[in-house]
Amino acid sequence: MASQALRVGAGAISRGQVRGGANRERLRTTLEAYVFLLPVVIVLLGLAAYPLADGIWESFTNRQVAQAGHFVGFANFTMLFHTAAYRGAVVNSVLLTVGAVATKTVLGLGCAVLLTQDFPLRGLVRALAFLPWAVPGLVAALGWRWLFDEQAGVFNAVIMMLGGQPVSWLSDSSIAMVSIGIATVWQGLPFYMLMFIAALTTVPAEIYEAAAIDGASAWERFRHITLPSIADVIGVTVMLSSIWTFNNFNMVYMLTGGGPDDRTQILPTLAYEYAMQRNLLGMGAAVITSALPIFLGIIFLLTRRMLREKGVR
Amino acid sequence: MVTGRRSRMRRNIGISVAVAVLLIWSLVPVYWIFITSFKHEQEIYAFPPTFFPLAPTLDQYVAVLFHTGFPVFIRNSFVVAAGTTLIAAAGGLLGAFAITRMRFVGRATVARLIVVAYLLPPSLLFIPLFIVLQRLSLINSLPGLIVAYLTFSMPFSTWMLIGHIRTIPSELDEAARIDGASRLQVLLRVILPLTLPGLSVVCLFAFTNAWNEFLYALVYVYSSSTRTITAGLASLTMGDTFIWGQLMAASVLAIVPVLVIYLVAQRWLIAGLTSGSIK
Repeated sequence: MASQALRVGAGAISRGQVRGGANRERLRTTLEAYVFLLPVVIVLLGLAAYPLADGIWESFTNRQVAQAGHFVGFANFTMLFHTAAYRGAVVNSVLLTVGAVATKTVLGLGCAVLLTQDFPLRGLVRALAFLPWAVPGLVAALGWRWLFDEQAGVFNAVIMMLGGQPVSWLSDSSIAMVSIGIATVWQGLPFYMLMFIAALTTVPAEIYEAAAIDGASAWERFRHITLPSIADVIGVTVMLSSIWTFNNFNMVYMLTGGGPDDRTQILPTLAYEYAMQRNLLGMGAAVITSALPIFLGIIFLLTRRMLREKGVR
Repeated sequence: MVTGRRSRMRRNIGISVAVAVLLIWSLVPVYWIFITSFKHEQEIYAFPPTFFPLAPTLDQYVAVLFHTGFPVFIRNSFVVAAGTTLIAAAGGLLGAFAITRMRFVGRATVARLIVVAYLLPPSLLFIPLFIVLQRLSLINSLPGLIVAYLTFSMPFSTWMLIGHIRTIPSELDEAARIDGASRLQVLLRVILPLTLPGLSVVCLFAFTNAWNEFLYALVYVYSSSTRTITAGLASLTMGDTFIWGQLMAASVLAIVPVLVIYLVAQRWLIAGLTSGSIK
């Protein structure tokens, strides 16, 4: 008690003398830090924060490509909610994201468990299984369009060789969403494999050995050891992938262009359609803004987690 | 003993079948792109299809390289990807140094904004960025596309480099500081040499991301002299006619640089990708 009081007293005496110097030093460091950070801050404020805010603003205007707009309140949003194409795009976006992310999670776990087993040429097999990740998204989309081609595509050719009827992979809207989903899973699966394999290799092998000696079956070991120890990584992977899957503009643009009759539009392709094909920037911005709260929510959660890991808070 | 051997055999068969299915699934689309690009026009549309080109030909490549604007698209992609990489790596290095090595007002906020910007998908920004580029008179120009690409590559490279620089013991730069080195000298003489491996991975990522990007390219560059590979590929499909031979040859040309990077640096790329969100 006494020593504490002494220390407080000593602090009070020196604080007055030191404060000026310490503050000046801190100010100097801060200024210097922002000189170093100048390029980053310009990008963050000028090319991310400002456009993000401006996008929200534009969605309340009737701005067109070559014509300044004025404030129209919620008119764009009311118009959208009464448009079948918009409601369809919301449903498609949600179905595609949920369906593809769920499929990728399950398949990704299976593949990761498979690729962490011991077998010959495992390194080569992994490299080949990750290959879709190295294919540019647009090229992947174009390649799948060629596979799905209804006249000369190889899928229908094989089906016909086996005596079946050709499938309308992309022109029948209910099948087309599934086709888009298949291609999306193909493109995104390697990321899941990578993340899950990296996580699996951090689980100590002794735990499995101990569980095996105690008579736990393979499924029990997976359920009670593997899943809990990589649950965190699964969470991050699902959140990251949800953002990317929701925004998979390339796949829909290249496979169906949102057609037939806007029935395979997702929100980003619909926004493109409004803003760039019909020049209605305000409407396009409104389409994006309507999905913004979900994104900002996911991004908020991810940001907290990623900052915690890097120890920068 | 007997049952043990039998169950091991069953396990091996199971693994082999699963690996075969996984490889077929992963490789068929890529294989089909390559195969198609080496076929003659009639063979591409032949029924039944040939699963290996009967008479391999470079006709499709000749057509793409000498009868379309594709060489210009390739050059533009290189210019844009290299420009983006250079600026993002330099800016990212400076920024990451400040975040990891300096205590200053607003540090946590800047770090948070970097992650948020890195996670913002292009589809959220492409309309307002279009307006920004229009105002700067940078629409339909390569510098404009580089500016747009900085929105994701600058935060990304900064974030990755924060991870790398953090692993360098700070005693090293404190020693240099005591010897009278300025902060910039510390960055260039102490940190930069030690973070070179990390920096090269960051550059490879920045390059491939810019090379592969499509939405910004589609919206911001739209003439035959400014299009990049992805925008150019889309422009070759104009209308509903797809000239599959040429498109697949062009696709192979777009894949090859990325594939080379991937094959050479696979190990580091994968470590870099997962470290951002696991470690």
